[in-house]
Amino acid sequence: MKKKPLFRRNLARKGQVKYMLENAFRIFFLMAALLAFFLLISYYINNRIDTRLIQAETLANRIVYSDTIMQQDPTLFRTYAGIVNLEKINDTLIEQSLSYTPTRHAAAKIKIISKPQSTGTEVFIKEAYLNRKQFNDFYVMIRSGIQGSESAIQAVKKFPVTCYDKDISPPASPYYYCTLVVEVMIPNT
Amino acid sequence: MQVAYAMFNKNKRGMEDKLYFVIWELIAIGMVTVILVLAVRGIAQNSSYWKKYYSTDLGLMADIANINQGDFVVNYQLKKSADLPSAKPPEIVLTPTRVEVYDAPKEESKVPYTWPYARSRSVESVNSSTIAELIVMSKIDTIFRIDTSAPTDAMTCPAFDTAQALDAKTAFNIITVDDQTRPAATALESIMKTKGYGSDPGAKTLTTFILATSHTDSVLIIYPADTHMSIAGKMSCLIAQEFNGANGPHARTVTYVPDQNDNNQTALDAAQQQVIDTYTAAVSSDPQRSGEFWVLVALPNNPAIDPGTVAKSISTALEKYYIAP
Repeated sequence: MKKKPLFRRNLARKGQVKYMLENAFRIFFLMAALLAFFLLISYYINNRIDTRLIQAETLANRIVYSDTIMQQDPTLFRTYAGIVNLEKINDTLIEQSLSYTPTRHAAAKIKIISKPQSTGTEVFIKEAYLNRKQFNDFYVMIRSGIQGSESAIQAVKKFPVTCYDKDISPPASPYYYCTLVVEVMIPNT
Repeated sequence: MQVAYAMFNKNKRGMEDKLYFVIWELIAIGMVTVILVLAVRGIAQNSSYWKKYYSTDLGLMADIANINQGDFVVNYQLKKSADLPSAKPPEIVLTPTRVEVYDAPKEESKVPYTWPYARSRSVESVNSSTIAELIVMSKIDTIFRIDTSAPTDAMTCPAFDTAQALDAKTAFNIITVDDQTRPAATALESIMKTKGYGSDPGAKTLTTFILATSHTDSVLIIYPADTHMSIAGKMSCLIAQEFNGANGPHARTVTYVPDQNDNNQTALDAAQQQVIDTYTAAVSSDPQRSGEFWVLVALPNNPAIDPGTVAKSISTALEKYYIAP
């Protein structure tokens, strides 16, 4: 019997659908096994390192323990961590002392308030920013509940400190107790 | 079996369809296997996790190192190369603004992982890189760098924050004790004038430079052991560094204690002593000049010393002192 050329063969034969249905389960199971294999590998591969909290701690402690805002002896250059020089609470000086490139890497608000009064209230004294614009942008996103890579986390730390105000003349003391509030913004990426 | 039978028994009608099916199935399995192996091998060789880890860890450490003045040395052990996907340590580069981690060598690496840090104003960050399993990150006086070992006997100056804007309202006083140092003084005054320092009539004098001839073969940079000892010491150290880097006569710093000239290693003669006494009396009697200090540069009696080089060394040190590195 003469063999038909391939292109003339009729591939739509009876029984092929039954054959496909019989093998559907086998093909489906094979795909499921491959998918499980990929998922298992992906689950155990960890390429994400979340250091936002430690970044916030590092920046807050850097503000508190360096000479950024703390009183420094002009002769010995000894830094007195715990005594805030109110003259140093301004944006320019803070950004000269803590200069990150890019500025998006960190933003902070440094606020000085009085120690808690007997009525429980606190009086605002002074504040300054590290990367003010960036801080405000992140603040708006956080308050709006926006999450994701463009947003940030906010960490707030409070420290009881002593404030030094050289503008206070005797007999009043230029040193008085106050509270330092450091609000740090760390971007999600 | 049926397929194999069909392959060799061409009289079975329809069996070739099953054969075609099995062939396609084998091709599909082969393609999937190849893709899987390539994907897993790519994942296994991917060193991005460790590059990211090291850049973050070292960047945060650099931030902590720059918190305060004072020396900071950390020995940082990397994971053993054999355990890394790339089987060799990465190249770690320190720049003034960030820590960068590349696959070694850096020139062949596609994308580095970087982490920014904030350098302290009183510290100079030296561009440095290492390819090693042990890294030493050190901040000693004004020098911040990474290397494979801790720096020893490095000539560094105190890391006091003395940064201040220099302009027409900031002046520098230059006094000469003898005629031999007059050319150097003139050259230094010329540099100050070119930069515009002190051109304002109400300019405040920050530092006085006293130039004199030394009785030794080396350059002596003498500074007072009084309330300005720290800042004057830093200025002297920077001037000595510039002289020593210029391949000229060796320079060293010496403190000057009033009324103890015999015990000082300054070998100041009467004329130099008088200049200092006159100056210090004028400064101490004027409360407006309380922040002012002096430094005496005693040059050896050597005609080969170029006055221009002396002036340039002093002016460079001055700018390093007042302008943050």
